[in-house]
Amino acid sequence: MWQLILKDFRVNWIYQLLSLVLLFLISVLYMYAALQTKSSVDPDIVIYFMVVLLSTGITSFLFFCVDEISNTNEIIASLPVSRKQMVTARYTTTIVQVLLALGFHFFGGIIGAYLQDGLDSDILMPIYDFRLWVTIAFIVFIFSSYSYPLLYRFGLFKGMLIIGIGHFVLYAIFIIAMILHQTVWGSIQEVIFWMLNLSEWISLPVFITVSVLIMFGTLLTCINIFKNKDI
Amino acid sequence: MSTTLEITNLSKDYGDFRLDNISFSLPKGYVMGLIGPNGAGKTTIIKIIMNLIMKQSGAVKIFGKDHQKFEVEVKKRIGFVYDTPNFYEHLNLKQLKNTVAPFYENWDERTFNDLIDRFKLPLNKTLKKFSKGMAMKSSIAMALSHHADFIIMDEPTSGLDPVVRRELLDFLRELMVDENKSILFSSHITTDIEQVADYITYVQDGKLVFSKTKDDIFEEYALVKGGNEMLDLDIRKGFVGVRTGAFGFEGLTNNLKETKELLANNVIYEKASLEDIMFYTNLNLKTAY
Repeated sequence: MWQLILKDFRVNWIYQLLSLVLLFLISVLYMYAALQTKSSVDPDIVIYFMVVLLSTGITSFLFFCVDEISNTNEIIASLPVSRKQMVTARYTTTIVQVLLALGFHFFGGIIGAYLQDGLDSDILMPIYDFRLWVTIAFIVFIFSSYSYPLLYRFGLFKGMLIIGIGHFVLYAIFIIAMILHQTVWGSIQEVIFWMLNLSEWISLPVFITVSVLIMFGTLLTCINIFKNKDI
Repeated sequence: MSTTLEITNLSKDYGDFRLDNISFSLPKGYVMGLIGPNGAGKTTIIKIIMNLIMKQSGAVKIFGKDHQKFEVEVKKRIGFVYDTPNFYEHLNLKQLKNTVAPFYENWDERTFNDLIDRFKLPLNKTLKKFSKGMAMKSSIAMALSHHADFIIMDEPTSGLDPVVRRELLDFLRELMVDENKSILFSSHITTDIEQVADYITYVQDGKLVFSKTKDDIFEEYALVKGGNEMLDLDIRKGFVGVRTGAFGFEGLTNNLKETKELLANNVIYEKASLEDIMFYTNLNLKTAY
């Protein structure tokens, strides 16, 4: 399986490098522009982390996309590897890619701030908070976890379409619920604030544990789907 | 005699196409040609053997082991050549080799370099600039550099120019000298199969027509030519397929001995080629439908 993981980085290094450079530049430019206008922490930094979350989420599927588009699963599956190893390796490379993407975002943000001479700016305070980065990493892992079974089951394009439509419907329901049912939204807010007010030593481990369990569960689901799939 | 490949009652249903109860085996050290028209099910059989497609029923044993239970172990000893080598086209051959080689414990750098020299393949040219012949040769070099005991080739000669095809067939003949290697080689170009195969398995519309040694086939099958007046219903039934014209009939028999007893020297007997066998079997199936 180790060879499968290395294979992804060996074969796709150019795409990987391009994606990471792009993420890095996004962070540099965003932070440079944000500090130039001397904005407040909110909403600029909130938008920044939304951008980090979305862009990292998208690039987490890089290796899967390249293999699907170049139709190379057949070659990989004909090598002495099992389907289980193929899926496990894909999950592992996704984790590595997410961590690298967040690292590039982090350093991009710092360099963007440095170029504006604003390394000690208030805006940067959340960026120095490692808990936020860990939380983002695990949010992306959860996103990948429920996306991969759909991608393995329906293929890249159908899978992406289902994920996109699913997200749209969920957001629509969420917004409609917010507008129409203030009490429902109030309860959701209460839950969110309750979670945020929990001690970081409780909330973070619980969140990480739940994320890891979700990932493990979907890994087993993906293995099961892929084991019975014609390539 | 030990068997390299044993397929028993293999079936796969796609709705519009069904691979139906296929059984055949390939003894160790021999070359088997898998023939049939386009869409007959050759690639499906090969992909099932490689566990790229899931079978619905039946069993596939390679080196006496179940191909799914012992997938990794079995694949270490297989060299697979694809019909369309879909490699990572942005890589060059050296990079591709560096990617594939670590998967095989028996990878032999010297064999790989020898094959690259022999096929005159450029190591530093990107694969997307390779011609079909070069891509096929690089695929073969990859498949043979880990000393595979069983080489599976899906339509390796289709789309190649005659010179490259000839080179490839010569190379296969050299490989056949090694009695430990078995080769399964699919093609719809029957002349290629006739040149290199010891066994021939013929599939048509997902059904097995026969799987026999080449010698048995050429002993049993023959073209029979004679006057139309001889062609009554009983005689017609004895042929796999018959074509009639103004000057007489031409039919294919799969029981030369019986046909000779029946028609004696009143007709002309000619050796049937695999192409004749495919043509008349196809004709027979079309009539049957």
